[in-house]
This record gives sequence, structure tokens and C-alpha cells, in this order.
Amino acid sequence: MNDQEHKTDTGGTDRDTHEIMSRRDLLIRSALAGVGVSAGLSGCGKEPKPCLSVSEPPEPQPCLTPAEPPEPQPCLEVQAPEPQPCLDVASEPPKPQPCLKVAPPKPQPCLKPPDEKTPPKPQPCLRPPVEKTQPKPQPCLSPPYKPPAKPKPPPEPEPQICLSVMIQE
Amino acid sequence: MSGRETSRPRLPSLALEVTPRCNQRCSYCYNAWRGEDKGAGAARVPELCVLTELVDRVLEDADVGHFTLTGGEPFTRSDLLELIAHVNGRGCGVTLISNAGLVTAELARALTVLRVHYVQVTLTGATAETHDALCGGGAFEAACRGIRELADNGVAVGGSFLCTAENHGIALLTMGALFETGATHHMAFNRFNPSGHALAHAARLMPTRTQVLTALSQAEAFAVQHDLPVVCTMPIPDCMIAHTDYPHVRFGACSAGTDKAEYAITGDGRLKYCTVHPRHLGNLREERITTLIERSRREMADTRAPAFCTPCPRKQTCRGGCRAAALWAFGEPDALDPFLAQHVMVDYADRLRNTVDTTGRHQL
Repeated sequence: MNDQEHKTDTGGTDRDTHEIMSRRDLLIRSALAGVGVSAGLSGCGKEPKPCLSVSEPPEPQPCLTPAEPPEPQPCLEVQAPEPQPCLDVASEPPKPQPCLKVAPPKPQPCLKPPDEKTPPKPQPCLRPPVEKTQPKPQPCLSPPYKPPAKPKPPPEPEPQICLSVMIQE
Repeated sequence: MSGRETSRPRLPSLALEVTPRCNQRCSYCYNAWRGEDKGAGAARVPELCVLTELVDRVLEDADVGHFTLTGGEPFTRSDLLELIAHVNGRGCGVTLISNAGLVTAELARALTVLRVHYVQVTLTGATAETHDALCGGGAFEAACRGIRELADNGVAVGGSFLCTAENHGIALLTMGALFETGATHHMAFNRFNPSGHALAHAARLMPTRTQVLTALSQAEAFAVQHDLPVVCTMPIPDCMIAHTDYPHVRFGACSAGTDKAEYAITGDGRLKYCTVHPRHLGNLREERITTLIERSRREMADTRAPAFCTPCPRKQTCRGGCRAAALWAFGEPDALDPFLAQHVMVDYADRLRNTVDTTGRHQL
């Protein structure tokens, strides 16, 4: 900043006058915004915007557009699943079965009724129970609304003596 | 606790103007009276018994953290040590505002046995050329010698840099010189305030906002370099500065009429809002200090904010800067501090010139 800037008719400088008026406006706007938020009058932030009307529809999000058809999955072809080690308790493992091929199903050892005298063994081949978990956040959705930050007013100086410096007694 | 005890005011500091005499003729002096004045209105040097009586009257009704002895130059009094001893005897310490030019080794040694918190000395430059330009020939050498005597004898010395339009660029040098000489208790940053005698020099010495910010940047650098906080003693309105830009400089607002005020007592017993303020609240020889303090708070509560500050949320604490300077410069209690007015008041220069030309010095 050029501190040799010559003075105006008021005795000060144009630059100083501009800076003072800008800062004064900032103080006034900060106070006005603070009153509005604290009084709960609106959810509007610093920038004026309609609070009750509907805003423009959002741009289509990439994640909401129809996805490409999935590639054919190998399991839909006539291919055998991998041998499932959990399927057999007693007999030899079944041969790979094509998924959709109409073949007489062989007895599934794991579906055999359990011996009444023995407690049922865990059924690992059954579909695992659905976990009751909260849905994970969807990154393709718009981020949650965050109210605009309240303008932070600068700290206020305390009254003090101006001749000397207060001592800590 | 009785009713009287509960209403007993607590004053953190009370200034006592112990003499109008001074060994220097500083251009920036805020005192309206000067020791060289010979007219009927010239201030007289109060006798020691007058001052001690004033101290006693105050302490009857109020608790005082410490007395700030100022003048004029306090060391022009040959009985200054007796006055300090009297104040100490009443349970109060003192601070001294001095140019240090009259401090001798003997005086410095004598101060060490008294309860003197610190002596604050002002420099306006780091050399004889720059300091003496505002304070008169020989002032720099005398001040440095006095600071050394005080420091060498273990008396705490605080430094003060007074910022004007002419020296704003050498704040760091001047504070450094004060520190190296022995002023290590604290460092004050004081801006030129067109009050009293200084009013006549406002056109030449009043720094602009930019000049003060330049000096404050240097004060910030000094505080960091020396790990010594700088205290900005004269208030700077909130709209003129972002105080957070100077984290090692402490700022404050005008305390006149608040419970943190430093009232000032003149040698003839009149109580003022502060040393700079031209308004007298009454005389302690006729009224109790509790009455005068109550009067000051009523008056301040009734004082409107300057029109420029009306929409500002800070007007109650910021108060538009120095109220005393506003009254000196424009003759109105709700006028702007001239430091701010020079930038936002259209007819500032004309009004200030008119004040200086027509009144010369105020007698309010």
C-alpha cells in the first residue's frame, strides 16, 4: 500500500475512505445477518435467495441416467458353478452343474433332513441372513444441505485506559 | 456489608496531574495548559499538601488500583518522592508518565525503595534528529540517559512510540531503540491525538489511516521479534482497522465513563473523564468522587453516537474512537474522532481550521 498517497480535501486519502466505508458496511451487514439467523426468521444465508419457493430443477446427475446394459454374465451361460465345498457332508462333491441347464437335480446333501437325533448343523449353504444395516450414503445423490456460514463479526475491543498501560495487580 | 460499602466504586487507575510544568515543548502534547503560560488563566503548580489531600479524599470513597502520576513532567517537582511515599502509605502503588529527561542516578535509586510499578517514556524517533524534531533539542539524549538510569537501578520502564504523519515509517526502529535502552516492561503504541496544545499541529502531524497501519505492521513485527506485546493505547475505530491483522498488538476502546475509566484529577482538584478530555465533571474539594463518577456515567449514557456511527452495531463499545479528541476538534461531544473524520467528513479540514483559528484553546 502506498503510504505516501497524498491527502484529499478531507485530509485523508481516497483509498482510506473507501476501505473505511467498506469495513463499516461489513460490520453492519454482519450484525443484520446475525439478527436474522438468531431470530429464526428464515433459513436464508448471507446471499438473498427465495426460501419458500421451489428452486430450479437440478441438472441430471450422471448416476441417475440409465446405465448401460450389463455385460452378459458368465453364470447365465451354460457354465458350471464352482464346486461348493459346503454342499457335501457325506457324499462326493457334485459335478459342476450348468446353471440353467435342465438336468435332473441330484440329491443335495445339504438339503437332506437332518438326523433327528443330532442337532442341526449350521447351514452355510443357505443364503446368509440379510443384514439390517442402515443404507450407505449414496455418493451420486446431492450432498446434504448445509446452511451457509453466518458471517463472523470481528472481535470487539474492550474499554481501556489510553494514557498508559494497565498493570496486573 | 453496609450500603455504603456496596456502592464504593473500584477505579483500576486514577491519573493525577501533579504539575503543569515541563522541561520539553513537544508538538504533540495533549495538555491545553503549558508551564510557560504567564496569563491569569495559567495553571499553577499545586502544593504537596493539596495533592496529598486530594489523594486522601478520593481514597475515603473509592478503591483505587494505582495512581498514574503525570503532568507536565512529574520529575519537575522536587517533592515527587514524598508524594509517591504518601500514596504508597495509603496502600496504592504508582505509575509515572515521564519524558525521563530529568531522571538522575540518585532519583532512580530512590524510586527503587518506593512502590513504582513502572515509568513510561515516549520516543518519537530512534535518533536525536527524529525525536528532537518533535520534542526539542537535547530531548533524545536526555531521555535515553534517564531510561538507562532507571533500568540500571532496577526500575521497570515501559516504552511508548507516538505515531505521527512524520514518523510513521520508523515505528520498528523507535521501539527497538526504546527496548535496547532499557524500556522492556511493555511497549505502547500511541497515535497522534489532536487535543489541547496538539490541536494547532493537527494539519501537519495527524497521520492518515494508511500511515497508522504501516506503523502498526512494524509494531506487530517488534512484538514478535522481542516477544513483548504492544498495547495500542489510543482507540482506533473498528471501521478503520481489522484488529485481527495484528495479533500481537492489543487494542481497546475508549473507556471514558465506564467502570474501566481512568479519570484524571487536575492540580486544583477538578475531575475529568481522562487526561485528554477537556470537560470537567466537578471539583473534588467540593463534591465527593462518587457523585462525580455517577455524573460522568449519566452524561455518557445520554451522549449520542456520532451520526456516522448510528447504523453500526459497534457504536456502544467502539464509540467512534476518542471522545475527547472529538470534543477538542469540533466542540461537540457527539462528533467523530478527528482521526476518523479526516477520511469521512467532507468539511473536515475547514472545521478543524475554524476550531484552531477561533478558539485557539478550549476552556470548557
